[in-house]
Amino acid sequence: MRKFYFVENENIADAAIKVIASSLNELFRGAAEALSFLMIENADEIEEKERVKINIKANSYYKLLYKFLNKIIYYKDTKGLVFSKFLVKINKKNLNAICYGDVLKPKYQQLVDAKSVTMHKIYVKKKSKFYEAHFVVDI
Amino acid sequence: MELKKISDTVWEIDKNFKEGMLVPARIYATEEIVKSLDEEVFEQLTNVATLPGIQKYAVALADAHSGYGFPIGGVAAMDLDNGVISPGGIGFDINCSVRLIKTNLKVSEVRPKIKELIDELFKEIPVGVGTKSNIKISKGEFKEMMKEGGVWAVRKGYGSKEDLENTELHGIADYAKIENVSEEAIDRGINELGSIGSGNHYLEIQYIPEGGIFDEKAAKELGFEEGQVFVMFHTGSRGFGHQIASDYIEKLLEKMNKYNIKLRDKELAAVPFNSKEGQEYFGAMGCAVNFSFANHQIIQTKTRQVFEKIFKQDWEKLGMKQVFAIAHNRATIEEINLDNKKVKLLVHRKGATAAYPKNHPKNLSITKKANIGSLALIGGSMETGSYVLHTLESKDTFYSTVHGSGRTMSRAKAKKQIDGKELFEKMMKNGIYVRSSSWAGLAEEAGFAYKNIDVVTEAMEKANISKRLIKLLPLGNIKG
Repeated sequence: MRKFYFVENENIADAAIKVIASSLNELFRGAAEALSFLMIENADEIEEKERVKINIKANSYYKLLYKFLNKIIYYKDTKGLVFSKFLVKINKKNLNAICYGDVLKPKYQQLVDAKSVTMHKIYVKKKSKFYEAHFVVDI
Repeated sequence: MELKKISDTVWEIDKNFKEGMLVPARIYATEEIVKSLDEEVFEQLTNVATLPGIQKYAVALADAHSGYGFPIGGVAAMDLDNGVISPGGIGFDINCSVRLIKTNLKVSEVRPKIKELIDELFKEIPVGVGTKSNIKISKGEFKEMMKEGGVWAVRKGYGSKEDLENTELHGIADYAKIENVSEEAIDRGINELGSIGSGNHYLEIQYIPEGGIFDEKAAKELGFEEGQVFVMFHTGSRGFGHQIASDYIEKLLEKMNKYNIKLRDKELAAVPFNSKEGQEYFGAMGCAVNFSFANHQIIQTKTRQVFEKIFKQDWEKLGMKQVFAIAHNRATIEEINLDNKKVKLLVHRKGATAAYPKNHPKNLSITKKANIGSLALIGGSMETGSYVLHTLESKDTFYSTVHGSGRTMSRAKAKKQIDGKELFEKMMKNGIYVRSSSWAGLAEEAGFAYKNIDVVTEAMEKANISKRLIKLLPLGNIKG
């Protein structure tokens, strides 16, 4: 089940995304999946042919999210990689992720090119029973 | 919120509206447009008014719509000594620009070949998600490009010196500092020179329709006539500029305490322009400006080559001279008469075009010869057409005018209202042939998702900022 949705009436020119999950690991996974679905319509059909490890740290969770998602964009621009599966482990604001995906091909239906995740209204919050994140992608 | 009417085209939000506002916020638009603006524009514009060193007003123009941090269609002028530089006030796509090429071809000659032309352009010029250029250069060459921009591109055979005459800054940001750019930015940019990207970036073949000349005298001086065919394209510094912006927004956020700067939105991250960090960003921004100039030169060259192939004539014989190239995402130092005193200000333009009146020293040769103010290239939606404006009096907006028609509907909403294939067929019926790497991407750019460009440009004319010179209608378009 998808843990994210695109916020329709917010941010007219770009894409605002909200993610809800039961744990931080799942929240970051959901955010990464949202980024894939923003760029590729059938992101769930991207084959797991390539594997990339991402290890980053930050002094806050929102910065960790910003850096993580921008790293995924970096792999799209430098290696032409898009991903369908993310294994994320967060420990004390250190993130270790393994991203599985494939190089861009015509069978992966393109939507828009993500330029960058922005700091605009970005947050990672712990609610009583779940975690919530919000971010805006410049497209 | 009280919006005070200053004149039919100027609206003001008092600086007491929000805590921390240092200046009022001003919107230059007609009542009809002001009423249609999304609420977030006012919120973002009044946030901009809190930035240290902002002068006179935080400005939004008639094409304003909400962005991230700054509204798009926004202008903020900062004091050079006590003001800040904010990467969010420039945007991720640093030096995103529009370029116009004229031809001596008539619409009747081009329409029968439009499919061939657009298909060939789509093949030669990469568009879409993560697309790579077919131009391979070494890291050493890339670094030369970072320093020299359009000048580097012309030296490598992409275009002519004449192109640079009518490109802003003559195609080179001489303040670029390559040592301020991360390796990640270079990695992202090295394979993207000569590509368009996606979103609202495009290349379009257009023509002046009957009744599309609004200023006969200026059009004659520039050699424009009804039925004449043009090529307009819109792109910027691609992943290279995006990485520089994200690197520095993150970096500058960490320095806010050092300079005791408090912000209402993290995306407004800013440091004093004259600080070490401010100057570092400015130098890195210059490299992205140069990437954008080189990127445009390459795309222009490929466009000329495609026309040469289809029409079997040299581009010079086809009259494919560059008319003008101008950016709408950059911070630029401008000399401005502020309260009867000439001062230098750092003008942030995010989705706003630099617009200099007649006799301004920054005017380029084409407008000097025609004795008019600088041109603004206003890309509309791919369905409804574009405009070329010339500048009248633009001091109040810190020498700035609109850059497009401005969205009125989110991309997610637009996609729900029309299917990309349905839009393609509708456009075909209206004589517009479009090639896109994505049906959904096409639907997001449907005409109804934008303000009416006629109304936006008319508003700038009523505000005496820019005058409409010609209107251009689309014949064919490639987009990501």
